[in-house]
Amino acid sequence: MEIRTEDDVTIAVMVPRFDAYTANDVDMVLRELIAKGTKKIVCDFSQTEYVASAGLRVLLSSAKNLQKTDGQILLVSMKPYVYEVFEISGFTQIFKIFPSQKEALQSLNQP
Amino acid sequence: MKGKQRTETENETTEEKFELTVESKLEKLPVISEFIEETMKQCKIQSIKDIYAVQLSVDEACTNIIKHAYSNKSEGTIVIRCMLPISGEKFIVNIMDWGKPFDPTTIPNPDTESDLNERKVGGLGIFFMRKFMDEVEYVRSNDMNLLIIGKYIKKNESSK
Repeated sequence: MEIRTEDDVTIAVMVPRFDAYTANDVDMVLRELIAKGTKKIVCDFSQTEYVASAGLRVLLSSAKNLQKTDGQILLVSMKPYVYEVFEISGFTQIFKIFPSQKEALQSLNQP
Repeated sequence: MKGKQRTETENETTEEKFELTVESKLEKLPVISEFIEETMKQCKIQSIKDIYAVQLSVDEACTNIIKHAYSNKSEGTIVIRCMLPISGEKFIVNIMDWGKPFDPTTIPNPDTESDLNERKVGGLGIFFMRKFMDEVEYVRSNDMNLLIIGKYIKKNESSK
């Protein structure tokens, strides 16, 4: 998983298949980022073809952890079928989802 | 593909059957997904939406089996058998394991309306199966868990 930091925002490019097998690795990476004090995380789904419930679980627990530190997690660049999984799960109401990194970064930079 | 077997149908006029046997390891999930996609395409099901729906449902079912029926032990076996009756209307997947009795259909749906604070992490796997498939049935037979999931297929739909 590619991790990049721009100013105070960390961009994590998510895995192509976000299933129960890869979820543990993604979970560890996100936990570590949050433990190190990262408060603004953008998860980029542009490379992701597939998200299973195990992936959603990781995002949910990261969002819960970030809430404790007043941080936030934004999701960007989802393919329609990936978005549908989020929608059906009710996760589109829990997460802020943007069409691309640009919009997410703009939203984070607003006062 | 490793581990893949095409079972020739005993009777070509009744239905097509495809079978995959894998070890109970999470790293096998991509192999399972690929098997479902190839099988559906061989059955001339082209709709990406239908393929995604079945892939996700089988993936969730197998994840449950590995975690719950086999308690994350990798020496278990999962057999996935796909069938398309000659009518071509319903794609059926039988998923079999020989782990502990585990009936995913008893798990309640999550509350998808709740906010971040209230939202619980579990129950989404079976929820996806119920949402994306038309039939989800569990049978315990001797020492085997059998999950039967079916999806009605719209014919000649090559769209997304």
